[in-house]
Amino acid sequence: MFISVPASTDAYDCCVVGSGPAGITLALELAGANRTVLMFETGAARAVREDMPGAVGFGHLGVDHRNRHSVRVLGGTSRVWSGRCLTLMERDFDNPATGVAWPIARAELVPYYRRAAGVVERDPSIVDAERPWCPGFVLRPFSQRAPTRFGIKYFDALERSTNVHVVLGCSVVGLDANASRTVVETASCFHHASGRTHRLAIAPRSRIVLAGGGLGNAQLLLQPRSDGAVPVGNESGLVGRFLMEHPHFHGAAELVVDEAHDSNELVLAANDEYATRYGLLGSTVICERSTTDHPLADHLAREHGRPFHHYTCEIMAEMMPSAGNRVFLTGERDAAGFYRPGVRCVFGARDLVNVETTLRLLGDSLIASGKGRVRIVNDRLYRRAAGGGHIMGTTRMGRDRATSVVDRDCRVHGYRNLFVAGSSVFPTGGYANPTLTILALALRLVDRLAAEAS
Amino acid sequence: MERRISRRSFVVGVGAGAAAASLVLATRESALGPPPVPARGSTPARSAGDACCGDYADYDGWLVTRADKRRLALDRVRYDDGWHAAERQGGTTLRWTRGSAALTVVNPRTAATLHLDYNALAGVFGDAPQVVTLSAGDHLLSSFPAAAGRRVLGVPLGAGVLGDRDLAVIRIDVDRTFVPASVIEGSSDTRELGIQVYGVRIELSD
Repeated sequence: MFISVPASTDAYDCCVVGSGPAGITLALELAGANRTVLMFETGAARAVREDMPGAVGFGHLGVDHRNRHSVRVLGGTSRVWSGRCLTLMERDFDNPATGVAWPIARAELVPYYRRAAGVVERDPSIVDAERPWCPGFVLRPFSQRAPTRFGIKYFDALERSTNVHVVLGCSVVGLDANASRTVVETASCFHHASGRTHRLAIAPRSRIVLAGGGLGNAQLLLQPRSDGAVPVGNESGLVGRFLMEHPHFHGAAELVVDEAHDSNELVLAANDEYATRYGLLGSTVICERSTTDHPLADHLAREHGRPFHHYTCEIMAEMMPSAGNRVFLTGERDAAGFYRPGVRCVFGARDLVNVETTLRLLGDSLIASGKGRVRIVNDRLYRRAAGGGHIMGTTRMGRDRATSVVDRDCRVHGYRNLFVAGSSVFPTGGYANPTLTILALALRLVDRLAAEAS
Repeated sequence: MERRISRRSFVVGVGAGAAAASLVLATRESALGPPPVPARGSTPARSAGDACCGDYADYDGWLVTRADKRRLALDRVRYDDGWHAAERQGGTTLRWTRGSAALTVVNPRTAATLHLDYNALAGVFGDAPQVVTLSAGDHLLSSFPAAAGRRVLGVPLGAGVLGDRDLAVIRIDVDRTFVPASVIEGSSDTRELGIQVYGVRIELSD
């Protein structure tokens, strides 16, 4: 149900900050496990709050994408989500090429991936949608259908739920902890309608989960304190660092192959063995069949006595985690008194060369197997890359505070009651659209929180 | 300081199956710098049993075999004078000749076959179809009555028939042309038309 800000969190097992896909999934799943949840959303149920400007961006983020990193409305960025679902590959969790590993393996997430598929109205079989295609490469089609708009799809469930209380038009703008910094004791909440901020006492039984997105989680944990002390949750000094995007390369490759596929069917990636052998970061080649003849297709058809088809390709790739790419705070404050975030996201040579290497290996494999040919469109590969609105890694998961912000349970290192959900905990981003992994991690966190509450 | 993997360490790491340490070293080092990019025209050595073409070439950004490149070069045709603008028809591109049209092809310098993919509207000429003549300089390559319907005509090119230059000009002439607006009821097309050409390519003889 929808309520106004309560005086304390005594009645709640969990407080969720943000109502995007991770936040709503956490809230409803915890409610289903008979736990009580208080959820905060800056925006309204339907209308996007426009008086809180997005990030100031530097680097390879396109303006249109940058604005999608925070959508202040019930349902959050699901409002602008494209609807693509894909899991991370096994290698994405421990790829030596990135220099960092997840503290969990893919196998641990697989059951949650299957449950996550149901949350976004997909068949659980999408988790296993991978098969060999040509030497070194696998076919990994993603699930593409009408996106689930969480604020619409789950509105009735939230309104009817007696276990979930939603506070709209309210931003959590600060956290305070005890002297030893082990427990968050209060949260500062700004109520947009009244323009007032009040301190909400966090009850000992309550856990706090930040689910404000890759940008919003870092923004909150970076907010300066009046006493000049390190912000709660940023004792590692790593909040905001290691920001990753998914470099998108539209039209950076063409393929001619001996198979006819509809849109979103011919989606290729290097298999784990090839990725290991060549030290590859993740990347995928998404092929769209042309409707016109192509001379090379004609040539190969004559040569091999079977039809060949021409495709133009979009490539989505992994970005190396680098401390220099980050969320930081500008001097500008928004309506809630929040310092506006800035984002620096610059693709490096490694990110771009990796895609070229992958395409060359694919070309090599296509020639060797007689399946076709590949074209690398240099200009689009090296000069036209742009982000996809996927901010990841800004509160990354790891084994200790020296290298990460949260532990394997998504708990902020050193804190008993502070957790983070969403793509900000990804230590690496693979190439897959992050939504399904965000949901899988949220469902895994639900199990952890439900267990702690009991 | 950025470190790169030398080609040698890369090959050793990949090629020696027993040298697991080398592979680990190669993958660890790759975290410190860009991975090796297979050079154009060559591929890195692989272990036995790997699929590998061994050799490829660049053709306008396409990674192709050297045989592909030779053959694709022969498919390149430049339409010179005597042509109307290209038209799209059901996903296919065609061009009308005006009456006498010229095109430039890559000289194969060896025995080959010129394939002319064409169509003639024989119906507009009654019982006597157009006669199409193909020539290269003073050499008559072929002369034939243009039957109705799209078809591909193969014209043998003897070695040296196109001269000794890299490029050769081939002329396509028709004995009669027509203006659709004059002979087809309801047509407002006032162009002078010869035959439709869908494509021309040269194939080397085996």
